[in-house]
Amino acid sequence: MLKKLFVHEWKDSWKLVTLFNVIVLVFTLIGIVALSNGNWVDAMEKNAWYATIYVSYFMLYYFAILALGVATTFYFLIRFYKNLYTDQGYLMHTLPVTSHQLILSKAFVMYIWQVISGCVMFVSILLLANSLVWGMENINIFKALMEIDFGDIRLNFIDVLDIIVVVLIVIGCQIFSIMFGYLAISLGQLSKNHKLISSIGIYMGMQIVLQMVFSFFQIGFNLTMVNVDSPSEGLVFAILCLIAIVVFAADAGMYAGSNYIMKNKLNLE
Amino acid sequence: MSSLVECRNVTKCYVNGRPAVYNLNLTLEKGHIIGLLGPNGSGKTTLIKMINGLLRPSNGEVLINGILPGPETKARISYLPERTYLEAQRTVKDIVEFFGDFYEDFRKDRAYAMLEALHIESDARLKNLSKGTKEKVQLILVMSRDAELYILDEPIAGVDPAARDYILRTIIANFNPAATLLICTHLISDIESILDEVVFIRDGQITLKTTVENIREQQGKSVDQYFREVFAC
Repeated sequence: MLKKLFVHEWKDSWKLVTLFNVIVLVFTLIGIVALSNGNWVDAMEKNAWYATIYVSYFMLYYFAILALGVATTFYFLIRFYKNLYTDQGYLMHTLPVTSHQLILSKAFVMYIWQVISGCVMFVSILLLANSLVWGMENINIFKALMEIDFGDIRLNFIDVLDIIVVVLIVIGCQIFSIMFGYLAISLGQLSKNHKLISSIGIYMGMQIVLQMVFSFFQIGFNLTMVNVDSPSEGLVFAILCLIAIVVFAADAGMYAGSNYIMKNKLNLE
Repeated sequence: MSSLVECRNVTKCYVNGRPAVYNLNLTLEKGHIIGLLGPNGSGKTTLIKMINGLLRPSNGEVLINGILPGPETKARISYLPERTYLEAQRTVKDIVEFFGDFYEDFRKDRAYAMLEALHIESDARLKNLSKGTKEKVQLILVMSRDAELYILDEPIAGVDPAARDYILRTIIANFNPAATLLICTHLISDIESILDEVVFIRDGQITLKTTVENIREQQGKSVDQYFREVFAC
């Protein structure tokens, strides 16, 4: 059943999110064509119209990149809300599936699209940066990257573990953003009236609390580390592990909270 | 007669409110068509939601074939809510495939035959259909299952009188005699002819459970007339 839910969630959502990504890629393509010869710098200096067009392009590109991340996240959070907590919930919650399967199928699709959108953003910025540098300095970033001699880099066992834990932290943080939204939406359903507004309010409140907690720990961390001249490999690894544990524990807690509300406190209007 | 639905001392309280259902006991047997009748706010929808697993009782328990509502009972219950619950962007065909994927007892051929009989294009998007047509699509989906329990909440409220006859005929024609059909409606006179039993509910409690025949014989009235008398304001 989880696979079926996943397939239907994918089929229902891929078109719009693909469009978001295609828009960014089209902007990137325009940038590559317009910037890959260095004339644009001269053109901007000599002609105010060109300057306006190029500045507008950079602004639009910036907003497109920003919007891709935000739109992907909010599109899937809105889908979660609409599918499970509005009239559509009468269908989804009477399917022969568990609340775990409902949450996991949606979270998995959202996670995959976050990764895809992240890759599109990364590739887009890299391609555009390459065009800029090539146009101005005739340097190919990709060629330069290929010429780096990685043979000199020696990784010991702890370094490899550090990299693995960092990758786990990145994955955990992506899951965090999903579960954070799910929990805020689910908590909003507990209110008697104005459930959507409550969800948005809770989301914003949780963000503020999160920032405060993060700042508190950052200050504490900085104060602790100020007395450490050069942290040992073991200390760095221990800190990374602690961060990973905290992130995944938060993910699990928020998932459990959302599942509990959906299973025990569901109250469709 | 074996029981299909059993509600034992069921109470449901919402936040800061009086109980919508209070200490309710009800048994529904297999193979009956039952009308769940009561005025607005009497607890009908709350009871239906608890049977469907959409709400959890505050006290007591609801059992379907002896087990608590969950994925297993949802596979056996075919529920038509009074809401339009289908995603507007989907086509009718998408929805039929969706039901076919999730419900083992769903009969696609039956669904397409009924859609054709009602002149509903399977390629049409739901957002382009009228409210009445959407309700017909939902009813077709629900009645295309070989479920053990059908629960229809206001199945004919949004459709024109001409379509009502077709819908009632559809319900009867596709209804498995071994299954139970629970219909909740205010249009009692329209459905009275197909009912075996009625359950009256008021203030979250069952006030009457009897056969339609009993009402006619003992009260000398139709169910509609008797309902109006019992629930007169």
